[in-house]
Amino acid sequence: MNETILTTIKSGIVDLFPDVGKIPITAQMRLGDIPDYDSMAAVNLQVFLEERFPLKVSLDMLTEDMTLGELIEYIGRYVKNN
Amino acid sequence: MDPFDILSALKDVQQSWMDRPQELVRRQAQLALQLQEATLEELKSFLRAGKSETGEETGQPDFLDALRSAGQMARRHHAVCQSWIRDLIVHSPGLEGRQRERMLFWTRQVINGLSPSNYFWTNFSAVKRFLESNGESLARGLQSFAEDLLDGHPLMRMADTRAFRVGRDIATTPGAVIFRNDLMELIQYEPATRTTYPVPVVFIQPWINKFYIFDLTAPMSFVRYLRDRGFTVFMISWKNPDAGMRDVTFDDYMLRGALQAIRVASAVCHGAPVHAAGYCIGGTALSALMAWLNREPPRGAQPFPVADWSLFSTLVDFSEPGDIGFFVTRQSVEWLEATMRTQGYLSEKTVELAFRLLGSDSLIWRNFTNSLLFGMPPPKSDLLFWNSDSTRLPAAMCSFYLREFYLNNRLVRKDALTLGGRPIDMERIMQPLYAVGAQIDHICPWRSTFKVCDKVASAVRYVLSSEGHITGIVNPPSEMSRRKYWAGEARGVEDSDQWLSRQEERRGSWWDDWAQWLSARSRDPGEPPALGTTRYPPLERAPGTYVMEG
Repeated sequence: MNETILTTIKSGIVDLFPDVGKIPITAQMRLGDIPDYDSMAAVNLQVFLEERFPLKVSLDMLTEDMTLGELIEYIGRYVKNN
Repeated sequence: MDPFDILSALKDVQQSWMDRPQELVRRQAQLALQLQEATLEELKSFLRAGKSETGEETGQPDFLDALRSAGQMARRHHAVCQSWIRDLIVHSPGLEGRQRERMLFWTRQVINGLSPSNYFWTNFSAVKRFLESNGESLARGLQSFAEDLLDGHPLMRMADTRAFRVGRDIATTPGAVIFRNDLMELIQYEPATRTTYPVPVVFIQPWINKFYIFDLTAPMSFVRYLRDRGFTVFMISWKNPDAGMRDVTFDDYMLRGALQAIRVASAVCHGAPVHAAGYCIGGTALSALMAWLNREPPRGAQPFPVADWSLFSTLVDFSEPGDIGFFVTRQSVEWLEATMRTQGYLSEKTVELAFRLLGSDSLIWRNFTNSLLFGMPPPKSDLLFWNSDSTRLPAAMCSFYLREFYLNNRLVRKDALTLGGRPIDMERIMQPLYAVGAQIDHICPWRSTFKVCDKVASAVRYVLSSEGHITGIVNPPSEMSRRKYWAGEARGVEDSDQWLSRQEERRGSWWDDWAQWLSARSRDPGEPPALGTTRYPPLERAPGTYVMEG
């Protein structure tokens, strides 16, 4: 399941932040690695995640030191428990 | 006409390189080389797309591959040019510091606008969506663009304005308007606990945008958070000014707004002095009011109306006002004043444009790509909805605020400013202060907000929150929160970085720290006050009328 979540997040990041260019989007990527990632970028990512997955993501989670791996784990756990 | 001093800054950069033509030529050659290298790398990668891993030909790269590569190449070239131009400005010999920052700011605007992601053929995702939807995505985007343009939003809407309604989905905490004048409504919220602290919290909200930034959807609501912890909360909801309010001054906001709210709240809470808290320009008004009150403190049995005060992302010393300072020059203020002379106010469109330019990458271009090129509906975000609900500013107040605070920085200079008939001296303030700054705040840089610490005579607890001007302040604690803050005593401290180096990083939201600070100054809880009094009866249910004014 984690692979599917990563693929969805990858497509979202490329769409939302095209300037990500050739930066590898892997589980190790930190949100802060996205060029010009700021609180408004976090709002865009929050809206994307809530539209794609049946979950609530609070804005205070999406800080720049969060890795995609941690995000995927959270989504996986949320989807499983709800 | 150059109201923002852009041409003069550009001329300064040009001039500074005139004396060093050789160095300039060397830099130009370096740029050409970097562009050549980027082109070669991208071309190689494009040609590899037509081969298998073992190097065998698998056919010519198709149209989509070519487009993807062209987009990548454009982005590489854009990145190379961006860093070259930035470097050129940073290393301009003899350029004065502020002028250098001004040039960097305005060049960033142009560079952000020229990003290949903002154009259809160099945004691969846009083309892919177009092909996959048989052109529907772009058609939808163009339709939204036309609709937004006709509705007076040439930068396109940032949020789905139909997704929320004030009073239905946001600003829903139960309460009542218990006081109204021509400038503001005062909301008192109903208690959520059996007992409440006798000292109420009074929020002096900014009058740029609406009050409900502190009462968004339930999980984000600052009001609910405080109510659930036993505080009685009062909130100012300002009137959205019209031409009839052209002569309303900063003094009016301070005295007929902030002070009046404090007096009414105190009367409802049986005469208790209040915890006053101001955010952004509301905090600046509260700071001025504190100095004003301390100039001639009440005599006899009458208590001082404010027990303690809190500032959230507030400038008191405007000597380094951050990026917003690039909009405020003598010429731009004169230009704005001429516009306001006819209208009587600074329009909400101008205010919105200025704030969106401060974060143009996210607030203009990312939104533009999403809405126009991808044909996606604007996001359903309560925060962005609030951000789009701009307000106007009365001409007299706006002119005074820009001139006396941003241009002349008079608030921190002892007795340099007279408000409400009293000279303002921040050093006279004796009541304890809790001040919060946000780490990546572009509107009120935290180091500038810190400057209040050595300007007042009172004890100061300073808190630095992670995040920006809004998200650093609207910062509800939650289990999953990864936010952090630093907090500590800061009375008389001048050096913000030195102060920070002595503090330890704490995980979570600073709201808990503030609630604790307030409760230590609130006496024992007792029976909650009634909603209003005979003198200030409930006039209508919260969120009231003024917040609905467009």
